[in-house]
This record gives sequence, C-alpha cells and structure tokens, in this order.
Amino acid sequence: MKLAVYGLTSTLLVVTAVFVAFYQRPNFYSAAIYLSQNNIAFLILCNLAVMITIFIERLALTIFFGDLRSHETERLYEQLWFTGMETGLALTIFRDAFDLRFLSVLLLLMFVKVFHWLITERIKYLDLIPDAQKLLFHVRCISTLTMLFVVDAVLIDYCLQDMFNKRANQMLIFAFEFALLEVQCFRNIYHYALDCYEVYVYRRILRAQLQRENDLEGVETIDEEVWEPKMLYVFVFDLFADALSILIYMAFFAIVISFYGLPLHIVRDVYRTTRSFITRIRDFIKYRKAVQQMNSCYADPTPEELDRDNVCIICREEMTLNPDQRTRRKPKKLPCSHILHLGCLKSWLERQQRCPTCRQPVQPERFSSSTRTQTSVARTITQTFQPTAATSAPAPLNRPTTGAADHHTTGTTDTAWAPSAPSPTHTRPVPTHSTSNEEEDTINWPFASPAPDDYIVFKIKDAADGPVIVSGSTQIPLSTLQRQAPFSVINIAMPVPPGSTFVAPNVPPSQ
Amino acid sequence: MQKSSTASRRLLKEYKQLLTDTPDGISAGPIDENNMFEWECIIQGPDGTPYEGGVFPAILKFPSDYPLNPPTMKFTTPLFHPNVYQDGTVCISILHPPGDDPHMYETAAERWSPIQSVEKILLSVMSMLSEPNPESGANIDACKMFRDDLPGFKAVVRTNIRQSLGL
Repeated sequence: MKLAVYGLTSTLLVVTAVFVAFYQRPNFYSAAIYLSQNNIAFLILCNLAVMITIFIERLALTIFFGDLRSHETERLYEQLWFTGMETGLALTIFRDAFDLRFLSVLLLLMFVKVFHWLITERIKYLDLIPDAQKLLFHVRCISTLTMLFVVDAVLIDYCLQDMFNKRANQMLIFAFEFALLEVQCFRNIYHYALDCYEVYVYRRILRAQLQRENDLEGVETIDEEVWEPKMLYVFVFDLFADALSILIYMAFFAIVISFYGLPLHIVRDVYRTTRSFITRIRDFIKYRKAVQQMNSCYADPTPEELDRDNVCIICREEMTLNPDQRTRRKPKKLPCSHILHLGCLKSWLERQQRCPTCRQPVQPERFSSSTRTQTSVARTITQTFQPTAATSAPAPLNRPTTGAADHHTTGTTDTAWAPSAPSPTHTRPVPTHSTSNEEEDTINWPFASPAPDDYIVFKIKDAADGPVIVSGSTQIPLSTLQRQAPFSVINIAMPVPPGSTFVAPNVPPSQ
Repeated sequence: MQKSSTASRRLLKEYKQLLTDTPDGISAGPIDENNMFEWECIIQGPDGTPYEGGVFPAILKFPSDYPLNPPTMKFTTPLFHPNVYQDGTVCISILHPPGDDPHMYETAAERWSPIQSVEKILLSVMSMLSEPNPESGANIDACKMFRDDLPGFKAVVRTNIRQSLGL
C-alpha cells in the first residue's frame, strides 16, 4: 500500500516535471537539457530510477522467491536499516566521487544484496523444516544461487576493470562489497548442498530401516540417526569463508586507510568477523576435546542411577540401558553425575562445554596442563565401579559417599574436615590406586590413615609441574595422589581453581 | 525422518504437556500445527501489579536447534515495561543464547540451557511483569519512569492495557 502511494507520487512528479519542461521549452532538445540540468527535475528523475528499481526488485523477488514469510520481511528491513547506515558512513569516504554512476552502482548493489539476504534466510528455513519443501523450493534456491554467483563474479570483474582502466577509485568500494557478497554466496551454496545431502542421508536411512523392521515401531527409532560429519564440514567451510572475508576486509582496510582515512563503516563488520573467527576455532577445539574424552571419560550410568531420573534433559525422552540401541541413544554420565543421551550431549557440547543442568564444566580443564595427569584422570574415572586388582587399595568402590558420621582430625595443620559430606549429585568416588604396570613412587603420607566415612579437605596450589596438594609442609603432586592415595579421591574430574579446597573421602586401605 | 526431529518432537512434547497441565495465567501453542517452530502464547497480567487484567499475546520463534538455543519472544500488543523493547521483544537473561555474555553483564548461569522450557519461559516472563528489573533495561523510557515516577508509569501501563483490550 505504502509502496503504491510512493510509486504513484513518483510517477506523478515525473509526469509534472516532464510536462513543465516541454511546456516551457520550445523544442525537445532544450527540454531534455532542462530536465538534466535543473536540480529539482534531476532529483525527481533520480527518484523515478529508485522507484523503478524497487518495482523490478519486487518482481524479481516474486519470481525467485515466491511469497516471503513474515520472518523474512522482518529480517530484510532490519538488514536494510543497518546497511543504510553503513552506506551513509561509506559515502563520507568517497564523497568526492559521488555522481550519477556511483548512485546507479549503489542501487545495483542494494538490489543484489537483498537477494543474498533472502536466500540466506531461505536456506536457514530449509534447515528448519527440511521435509516440507517441495520441488519448486529447490528449483528456486538453485537458480537463485547460480544466478547470484555469476552476477557477483561479473560485477566484481566490471568494478575492477573500471577501477584500473578509468582510474575510478570509487569503484573500489563496490568491488569490495561484491567480493564479500560472493563469499556469502559461496557460504549459502555449501550450506544448501550440505542440507540437501543431509536430507538425502536421512531418506536413505529411513528406507533401510523400514525394510529391516517394517513390522514394528520403526517410526519411533528412525530419526535418531544424525549425519554427524555435517558439523565438521560446516565448520571447515565456515572457517574457510571466514578467513576469506577477513582477507578481503583487511585488504580493503589497508587500501582505504592508506589513501583515504579510517573506513568507519566496516569497523563493525571487521570486529564481528574476526571475533566469530576466533571463537569458532576455540569452540571447535573445546568440542573436539570433550568428544574425545566422552567415551573414555564419562561413565555409563548404573541402572539404579537411571531409575532415579531417566529423562534426558535435552530431548525430554526416556533413557534406557539397552545394549543394542544406537550409540546416540546411550545414556552417559557427566562428571557432575547428570545423565544425558550421548547424542544429545554431543550436540550440546558443540555449543557449550558445560553440563546443561548444573553448568559444571564437562572436562577437567584444570588438570589438562600435563598429559600424564589427564590420562590418569581418564583412567581413574573409567575404573569407577569396576573392582580392579590394584597394588595398594581395592576400596569398596560404589560405597555411598554420603552420610559421614563422625569426623576427626588427622593432626596436620593444613587439612581440615569437611563440615558435611558432599552432596551425592556432585561427587563420585574414584578409586585412585595405580594399575599394576605403573611404577610406584614411594611417598610418606603426612597424615594418619583415616577412618572409614571420613573426609579430608586438601588445599590445591599451582606448582611448576602442575597442581599440588598441600599438607603441612609437604606438597604432593595431584597426579601422585590420584595414583597412590590409600583412599578414594572424589571430585578429581572437576576443575578446581587453585587455592580452593579439595575433598576426598577416606577409604581405608585394605591391609 | 529429518534431523530437526529432535527439536520438533521436543516442542510437541512440551505442547502436549502444556495442554494437559497449563499453569494459571498462560496459554501457548503452535500457530500452525505443521510448523512447530512458531508459537503464539498469551500471558495474563499478574494480579496486584499494574498489568493486572491485561492480556498480552506474544509470538515465540524457535531455532532449528531448539532446545540447544533459546527461542525469541515478542509481544504483539504494546507493552510498556522496563525489560521489553519497544518493538515487543522480551529481554530476559534466560532467553539469551548460552555462553558467556560478551559484556560480562550476566553470568553464564543465568542464560539459556536446555533445562528451560516454554512453560518456564512464560512463567519467568510473568514474574518479570510483576518484578521489573530496571537495572538491565530494554526500554529506557520505561526504566526511567519506573524508577522516578511510579504513578506515571502505572498510568501508562493502564492506558496501554485499556487500549489493547479495546475499552
């Protein structure tokens, strides 16, 4: 409606201007001169050009995208707003070169940009509801993507040619913008390809499963498979695309800053892209670490633990201990003893490396300084609930750690008694005796052999060789404690900041 | 069948849960049952607050990786509140994506986690209505008025409610 009013007004203005020109001037030539020289008439004509562009854009959008969803329109206006502001800033740099050609290329840029935004939204939508998409959707996506890829390339070439041949420096900004759009187009293409391939993979799995178990509840189990490598592909491609855009930004930044001055309009984008680049790499490393440790580090829950709470907090579905179920449906227990589906846990770890329930970090970052410690942690944890033939202390392994009755002091200055037993949801007894093939360092424990059901609190300090526990004047490396303590050590898998206390339940060594 | 099934199945579960056991003062459900990723919900203004008697419809939009990322919530009628943007977008910490706040303003513990649900979001929004937090303001005018001119703030809220109810 607003658009119709705008269109009508613009047309009327043009008609009036043209009419006035021809009425006042004797012949066509002078009328045309008047129209192009008079400021107001010129402005009206420019407005007409903008209007025509908008209408062509609308037409093209209807052809390539069909009806826009409300969400898409919303995003479109949001993007337009930002871009409008940034363009305003960009114009200040190239203010000398502002002319009709500049304006027309600017319009063209906007025209192409709208397409890029919308196709990005469309592809996100495919990710949301992959199965609901019909053939027309794919035809539109593919044709739009191909068209944009070619158009971008042609425009980059045109701008560069123009810049070098006619020394039109203002074309630099457009070459840069179109190069960025080409990167975005590339991003969209691989996202689209990966999404489509993923849908294909699911269809295939579905068919295979239906054939295998076409009699009973096949539908319930089908959608558990996830095409896991997708995450890796997306990551690699995203990283590449990010690196590419950073390069383009940097090049532009360098050129502009040496010839014109600070390009204010892209500072925001440069910052954003660089930050996303860095966080992407960091998150990915963390994720890989967590996943690597997942199988060795995190224990399978016992049936009793599962009975207490068997709903996975992420998918809100039941967890069962069924040996022949798919790996992603297997329950896993985090160091904080919260239980989740392995698959759900993995997808969550892609985003954050903390327990979704209590937000404890899921990996013992604190101890990862030395690999020895790390593997030792991994081993001790997997040993939980498995009686091992150890040299020093085969402690009663799944003895409850709660209900500590009487506490007594051990006579050392730096150890203190825990006021109460740690809550069972956050603790887990970990037998820390070394396996038989490991060499023994002899150590004199500076404290008396404690009674059952007691707890010792250690202070942890950072030392040169990694964390140590302090007991009186003695410092014992944490790794030694893990291997040799004549009692179980709990909380070992949780990162403990230096200076904090460390609780260990005392399990008497078997004599 | 499709990989978004985790998200849509969890949403379906939450929807069924809400149908059988709806807390007082809220109602929510998908706008179109073929698309579980857009919900409409209605929140009643809590009693004993300026919002009492008001009925506030809002749109919840879920990402494809829900519940790993939070939905967004936007009121569709004008709602004058320190923590609601002028376009109706709700600004509460549990609707912020997981991870640490780049501005170090709120801790990761206050932000989204899959343990939250539509029901919890709506209940949080209800409690946000009864206890505005002008410290982390989304609508600066509302914040200022709430702090300096409480009667005036209440009057604006009441007028808005009357208008939205067509009184």
